[in-house]
Amino acid sequence: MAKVSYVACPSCHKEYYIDRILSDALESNPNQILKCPFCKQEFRFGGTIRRG
Amino acid sequence: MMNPCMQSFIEHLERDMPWHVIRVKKEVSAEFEIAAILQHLEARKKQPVIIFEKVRNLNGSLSELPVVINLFGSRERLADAIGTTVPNLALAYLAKERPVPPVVVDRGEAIVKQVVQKGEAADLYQLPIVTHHEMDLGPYLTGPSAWVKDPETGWTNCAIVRAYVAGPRHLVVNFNVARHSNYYFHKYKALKRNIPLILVIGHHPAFYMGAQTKLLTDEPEIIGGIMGEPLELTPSETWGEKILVPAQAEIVIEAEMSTSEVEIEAPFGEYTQYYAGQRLNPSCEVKAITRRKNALYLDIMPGHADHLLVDAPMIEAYLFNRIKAVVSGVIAVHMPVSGSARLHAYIQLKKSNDGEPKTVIATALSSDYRLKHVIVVDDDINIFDDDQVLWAVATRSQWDKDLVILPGMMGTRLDPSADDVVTTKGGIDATKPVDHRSFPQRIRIPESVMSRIKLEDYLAPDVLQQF
Repeated sequence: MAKVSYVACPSCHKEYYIDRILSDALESNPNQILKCPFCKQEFRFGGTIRRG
Repeated sequence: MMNPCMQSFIEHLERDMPWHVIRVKKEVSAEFEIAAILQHLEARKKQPVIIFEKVRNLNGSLSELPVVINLFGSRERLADAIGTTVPNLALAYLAKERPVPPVVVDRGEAIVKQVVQKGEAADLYQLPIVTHHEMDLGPYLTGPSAWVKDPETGWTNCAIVRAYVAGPRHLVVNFNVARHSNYYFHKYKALKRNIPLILVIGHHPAFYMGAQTKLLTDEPEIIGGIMGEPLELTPSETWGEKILVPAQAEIVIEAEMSTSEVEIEAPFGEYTQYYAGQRLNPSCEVKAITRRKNALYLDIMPGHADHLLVDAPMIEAYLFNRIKAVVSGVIAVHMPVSGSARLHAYIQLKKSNDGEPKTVIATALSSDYRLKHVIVVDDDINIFDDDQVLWAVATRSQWDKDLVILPGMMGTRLDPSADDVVTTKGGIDATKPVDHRSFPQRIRIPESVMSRIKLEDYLAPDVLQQF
């Protein structure tokens, strides 16, 4: 099965899933800017990834 | 003589096949409402082209440009666009898939130059760009045929791409990692050069079908072959004669794609009907937008027939050619919408020995990375009918002998059941043995009776109308 990774938006607190390559990239660059598909707010990752 | 264009095709449909076009005059929102109307029609098993005449653009004003969606949602329309019938679509495509060199025309003969917006005036927000699914990151261009010129050979690759509209002159474009455009991307990256990117939005369906060729060649030449006449090109605003654009397109966006800067793109509802996860993709700066005066904005509805069929006949044609080289008895290939028109193939075979079906399965599964399951059937099974194919599986296969499983093959990340890009593929031989005497005969009503009996001779018109 696919390995799905989730991040949580700090604004609306909803989780959404990210591509494996982005998931790997976040581990080396926690300052990466992400954008929440729900509230459309950009945020600096800086958090944790939840593996699905 | 001008190339046929999207508007000439729609005029033809409205004149000759009017049930294929619906015009919606009431104002609709580009955010979800257009997608919702199409989905409601699909639920009623209808696949018309829908023209939304009043749609607000991303600035919030009523757009000058109506939105056209579902242009590709019917095999009947695709067949009509290249002058053939649905059962012959893939083979007719193959017969036309020959290079016809394009011709260059002056700007004055190019309808796509009737409105020219450059620099700050090139504003994507003036377009009625659609947001389709709930978790999509925002509005997406889904109808562009993206043109990238190989920096070494000068060949142009064309591919339908998704492009996230990140700002009025700012796109983030997804290139499929397994396709030729990505191969060209890496050539530019090695040269440390940005990519001149042309996004063609709206043209005759034959143009799009030619642009979806699976051959690695100069694809505008194949477009000419499929259209049956040389494709008319004209110089771009940004790169002049070095980069040419289709002269009779509705809209052309000229953009520069970075090979060094990436940014966030997706989620986006994809052809498998799941969201592609958020990822990093190259950013693009829009340099110019040119269009015809009364342009129609083409949107392709992702994950639905509109999206699935724009590519399926070309994959079928490609697979047919590959299989034919190995097993000459192949008759036809069908990628059903029920398998997202990429993951399943039904293959019709007039076999001459019992080893052929498995050879067909292995050839097909190794010919397209997305193709995951193959069902091979005899020539009495209509492969355009899911019910008949599943009946053949039910009555002509024994899975201890007839199943082929190929683990550890390259697949698509968009299949959530795969282990990233590694997938297990499989096929079913649902054919009868070559020695038909060892197999029961299929029931049938005498053909002479079937053709003689007309329902209207036996049922009242009001009863018949219910069917």
